[in-house]
Amino acid sequence: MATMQLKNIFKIYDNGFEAVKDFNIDIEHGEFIVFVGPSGCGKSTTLRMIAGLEDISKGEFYIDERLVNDVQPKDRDIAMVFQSYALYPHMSVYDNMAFGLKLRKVDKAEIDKKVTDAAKMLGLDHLLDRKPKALSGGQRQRVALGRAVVRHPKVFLMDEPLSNLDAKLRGHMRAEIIKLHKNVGATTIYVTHDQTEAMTMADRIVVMKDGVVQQIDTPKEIYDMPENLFVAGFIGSPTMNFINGTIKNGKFVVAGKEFGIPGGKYAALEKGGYEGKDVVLGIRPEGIGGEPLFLETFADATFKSTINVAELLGPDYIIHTMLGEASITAVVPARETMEMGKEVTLAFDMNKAHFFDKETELRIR
Amino acid sequence: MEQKKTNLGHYLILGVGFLLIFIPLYLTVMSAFKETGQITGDFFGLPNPFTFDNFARLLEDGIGKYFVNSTLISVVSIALITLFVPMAAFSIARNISNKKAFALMYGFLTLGIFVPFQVIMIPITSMMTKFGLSNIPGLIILYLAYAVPQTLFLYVGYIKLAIPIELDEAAAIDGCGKFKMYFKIAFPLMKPMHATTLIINGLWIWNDFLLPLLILNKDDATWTLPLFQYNYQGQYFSDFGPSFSSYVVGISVILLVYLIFQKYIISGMTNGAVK
Repeated sequence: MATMQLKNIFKIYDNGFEAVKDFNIDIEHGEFIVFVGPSGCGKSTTLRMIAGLEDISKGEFYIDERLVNDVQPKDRDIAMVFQSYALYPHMSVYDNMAFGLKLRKVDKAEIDKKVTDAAKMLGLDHLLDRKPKALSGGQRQRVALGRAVVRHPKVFLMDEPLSNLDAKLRGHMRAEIIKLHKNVGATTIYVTHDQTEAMTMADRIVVMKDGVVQQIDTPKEIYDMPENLFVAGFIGSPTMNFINGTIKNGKFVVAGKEFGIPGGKYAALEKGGYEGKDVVLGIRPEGIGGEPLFLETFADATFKSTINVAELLGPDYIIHTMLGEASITAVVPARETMEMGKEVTLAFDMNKAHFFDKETELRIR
Repeated sequence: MEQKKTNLGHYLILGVGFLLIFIPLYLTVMSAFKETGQITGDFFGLPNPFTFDNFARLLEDGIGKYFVNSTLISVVSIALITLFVPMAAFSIARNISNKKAFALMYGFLTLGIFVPFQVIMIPITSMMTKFGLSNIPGLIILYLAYAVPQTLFLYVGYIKLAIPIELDEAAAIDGCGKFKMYFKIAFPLMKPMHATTLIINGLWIWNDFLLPLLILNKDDATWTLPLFQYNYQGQYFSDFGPSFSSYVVGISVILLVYLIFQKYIISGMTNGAVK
């Protein structure tokens, strides 16, 4: 286990491109941190700087309060699991796992014990003599994890380790990694573009876009209290609905319809001087309902609409409709049949709605 | 019907190819076991009587010494080529896309592929004489230099294609410095290319006549097998018996090396490295 501090970290390439801008985070012992964001957001670059595979252009990086900017990867006491697994093809599973220990001149009997224990934990004990090419994708992934585990490093780094697996195996391996983290307890940084992985695995999530950290918080806080439009739109599936409208007399007005704003939220809007101004309302699909009780509860935030597409997921429908010019996606219980062309009355749970500044895209609070 | 026609065409081409290789080989091997009289009188016939006299003659003429010279030159040259060229190739392959100096160096070194030996033959010979390198070490240096362009070209292409950079990174994190990473990970993964270049360069160095003729001319104790073989060819008389038997000796070594290493040439060593 280790603590880590990244202070004002920048990655600037020779052509002047800034891949990571002013990255700051303090990571506690044994924390599971997930970097999430779209392709090219700088999450993998940051991880590679932590690993020592990329130079840090500006800023300071500490592991256990020791400045390690110029320390070689091998001397940082880290282990990394690569997206492509990066197993040594000419070595057996045993040798792949033992390689790091052999280089550190660990006693042969101890290597044997560590590799055998890790192999047992990962269900690889019957595959130790095989070469990587004779393994399935899931088995290779486990060898890559095993190679990291045997060394008992201070820090685990994982760069999209599940992205080459099929959906079922991904779900299974996700659980395995969570279990592994509980067992080993090493501080872990996990990079993914999959927000489900981020939400299910992380103690804290770092959301990134264009090299800039958008928000660092627990999965629940990120989901419930997104800092800006990007975070609100990136986390959650189906994605949050965004509706452009105006604040008028304590109500949100869009396409001639008025939606009552709860007192606390309106106070923040009023304090920010948004009365009479255009804002963006954000509401998650599960914050919209059409059940009688729901409509009754949020009677001052209802609207009538026609279903464009209805997707049955088993217990729920995802329905797509319009409010003025805004597309609306709602998740409603599948108690009655929903179909294209059907007219429905829906309501917003305005307690769960967020308001964002149109210019700065920040959440108004 | 269409299929049969194609097959027939294939067999015809293969048959012609087979004969083109088999007939000279057959004549060489058969002639090695004939008496000189029979070689000139009955070139295509089987040896009658079957004799080892030609091989005995080779031993009498001291083929052993030249065989040792050829083996020494080939083995040391190939060892040096296999030690240094992949090292340079690895460094170039990893840096060529983002460092201009490496791209320039690669371009400069591979340019040698397009320079025919005959063009630089005279200056090279006089230069080696001036440096006092008209001897076996000098010849080995020249082989190393001449092997660089093509061998480097092959290795760089192979490394870029078959050895993913993630393996370097995984090794670095596992605890390897640059040299350990090269020798423990990259070098073993180049096995198919080592075998390929060993055969290409080995064949050329073992059979080469011109460079040894220019460099080793002064001292017949340093001659190679092809120079020794040439002694049986005169302007007015050729001693065919020992000539052919010495060719058989030369061919046998190449054949043996090829049989040992051919399985590595095109084998997918990196299967399973990534994905």
